[in-house]
Amino acid sequence: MANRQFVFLNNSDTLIAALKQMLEFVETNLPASTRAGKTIFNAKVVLTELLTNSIKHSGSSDTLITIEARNSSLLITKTDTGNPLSLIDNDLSSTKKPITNDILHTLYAVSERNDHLYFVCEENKMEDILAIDDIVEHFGLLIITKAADNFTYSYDHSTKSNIFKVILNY
Amino acid sequence: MIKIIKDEPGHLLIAVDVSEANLENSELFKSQVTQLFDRHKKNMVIDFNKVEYIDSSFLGAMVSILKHAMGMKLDIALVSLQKDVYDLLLLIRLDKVFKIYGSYNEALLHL
Repeated sequence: MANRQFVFLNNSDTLIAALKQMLEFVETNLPASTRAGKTIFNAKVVLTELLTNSIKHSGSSDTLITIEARNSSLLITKTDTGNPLSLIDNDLSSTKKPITNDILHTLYAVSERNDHLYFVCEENKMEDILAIDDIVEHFGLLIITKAADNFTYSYDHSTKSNIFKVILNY
Repeated sequence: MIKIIKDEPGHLLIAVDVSEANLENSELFKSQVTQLFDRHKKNMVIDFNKVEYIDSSFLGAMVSILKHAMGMKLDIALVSLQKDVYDLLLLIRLDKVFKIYGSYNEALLHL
């Protein structure tokens, strides 16, 4: 098992270089037997959206990305000390709450315990093509949810940290 | 950001002139294409041959432009998408709302 930490400075000027470094680590450390193309595509999608999310929403100066290449999965963890996700302020106890809903998908946040939730989505039947006008224009969480095998968010009050974890199975 | 390649009677062919289509250039893309729709009032064929990767911000801009076009009773066709770009559109099912063709010539058959 290999792992490495990367500090990202939450600005768009360094995004492409940071992404390249992270993907090089992933490519180098994937077990030989994995379907590398699919894993690398999903890792690129997930890392791009995690970093973009930091630039747009975190409110902190930097973000820590940890990548662990394990025997059967890749674990990507993003930690920052920015604003907690607004979902965590709501009462999500034992609920599956829709975050976005349109003709293509419904994206849910599911609360498992206090300050911890995971994301799932359902594909909707496109019954009304004219409802294109209602399609959401924010795809970041949806992209990560669909690319990942598991995608969670938690807030650590003691360190005031947001922790996103993404698992990609090989 | 955008190059006009052809101005035909029924449509414009434009090309996206960046390799990474992301939050750095999504707003510019949106405003330039919206202006082209408003000025020319024609369907738009958008060539993505040069684009190696698209992020969620740029996808949001593309959907916003599609809504703008449909509000004008116009349409958008996407052509020459690289594999990662096409795979991302498939992942979030935007292939269900955008017309996607392998090439400009193929798109012409359906315009």
